[in-house]
Amino acid sequence: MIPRLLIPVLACIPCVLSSCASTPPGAAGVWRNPKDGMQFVRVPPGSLVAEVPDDAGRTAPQTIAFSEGFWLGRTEVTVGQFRRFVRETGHVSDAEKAGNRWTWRNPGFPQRDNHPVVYVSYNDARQYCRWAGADLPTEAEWVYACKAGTSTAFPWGDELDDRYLWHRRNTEGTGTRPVARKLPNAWGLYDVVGNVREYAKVGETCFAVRGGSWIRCPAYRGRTGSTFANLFNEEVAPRLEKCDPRPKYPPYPWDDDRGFRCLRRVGS
Amino acid sequence: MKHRMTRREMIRTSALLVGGVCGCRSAGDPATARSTCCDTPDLEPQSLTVGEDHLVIDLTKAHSLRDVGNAAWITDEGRSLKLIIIHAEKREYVVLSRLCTHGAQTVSYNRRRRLLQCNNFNHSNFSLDGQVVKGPAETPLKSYPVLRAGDTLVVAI
Repeated sequence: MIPRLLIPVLACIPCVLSSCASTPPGAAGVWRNPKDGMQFVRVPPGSLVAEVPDDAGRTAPQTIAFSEGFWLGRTEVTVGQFRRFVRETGHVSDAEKAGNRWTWRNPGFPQRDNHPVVYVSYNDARQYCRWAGADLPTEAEWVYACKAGTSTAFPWGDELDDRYLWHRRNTEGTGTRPVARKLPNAWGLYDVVGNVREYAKVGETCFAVRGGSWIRCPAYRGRTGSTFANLFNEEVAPRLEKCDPRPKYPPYPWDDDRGFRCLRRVGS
Repeated sequence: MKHRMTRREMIRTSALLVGGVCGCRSAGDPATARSTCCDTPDLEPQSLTVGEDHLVIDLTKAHSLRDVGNAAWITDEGRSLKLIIIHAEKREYVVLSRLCTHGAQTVSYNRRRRLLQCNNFNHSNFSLDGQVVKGPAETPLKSYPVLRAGDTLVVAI
């Protein structure tokens, strides 16, 4: 027999659990989105100094404040999570609609459910995040979260470090790797550099793709034979893009190294 | 799909091969296999003889091609030749243009996927016969017929 005093306490447990699962906590920690099982980490308030382009295309440093911080997917959205989204909504990806040879179901290399989904368009990514009760990060939010308060080229330092990222050399160019197998940045975000490049909003119809990927060489020889070194720098640099409604990567609005992670704003 | 040699190419390359074999010598430098993931090395100059319409490669001196999966660059500035040679299978070699047909960059060989990949963001992929596997490139890489006799390759250019 349950003591009478315990009844209200026990009755509250499901409410508390449900509340924890469906509403991000306010200050810190990790929140699991019940919709897709994605864990979100709290990106703390702060600011980013970034090169921001004006209408004429000139850039100037600006301080962008994130007064409340936000919640960001701890990992890139995985194949398994995207499959769940497709099953629940009947979503057909843009690459599938276009009859592209490669799609998220068959990207041309083996993927398991814990790999980041690829061959998704910006539109696919936005629809996924909307379904998950979230949004895509803006480019400024993405860069701020990636840098995690550091002023070095990468969130771990100034040189590429294989403990933190998947690139073409350590994947041998064979494809994506399961998410969260490398070390996270200081705010607990995995694979912000490497594995797949990630969509970030520049405007309603414009996007950036940031972070570098498994297909990217740390360095390579160009047409003239000289070596381009450390090509991940530009992928994480605090330099924002100008919204250009023309297709950014014609004619491909998707690719085998492009994925995304979702963002949830505090209080949403 | 492999590059199909025309009758004319076959006759010409065979004739070149005879000449190439006669002119080759062997050498015994230690082999130095290098990664072709991103930093494709240059073919050893001492292994290469450039003719009017052909190249002769002495494999005994082409240490960068020793292992299956290795690749090397062949460059002849005089005639703007920018090629990549790949040791694709045991004793089988392919030669292609190394200039990506989309994105104005070079290609490198991905030995694990047996593909050539443009070294730019869209990284189009090509099969070993130069055909497009993944765009955005739409045009194949130019491939060049190769004949092998013993340790000598002759490439019709």
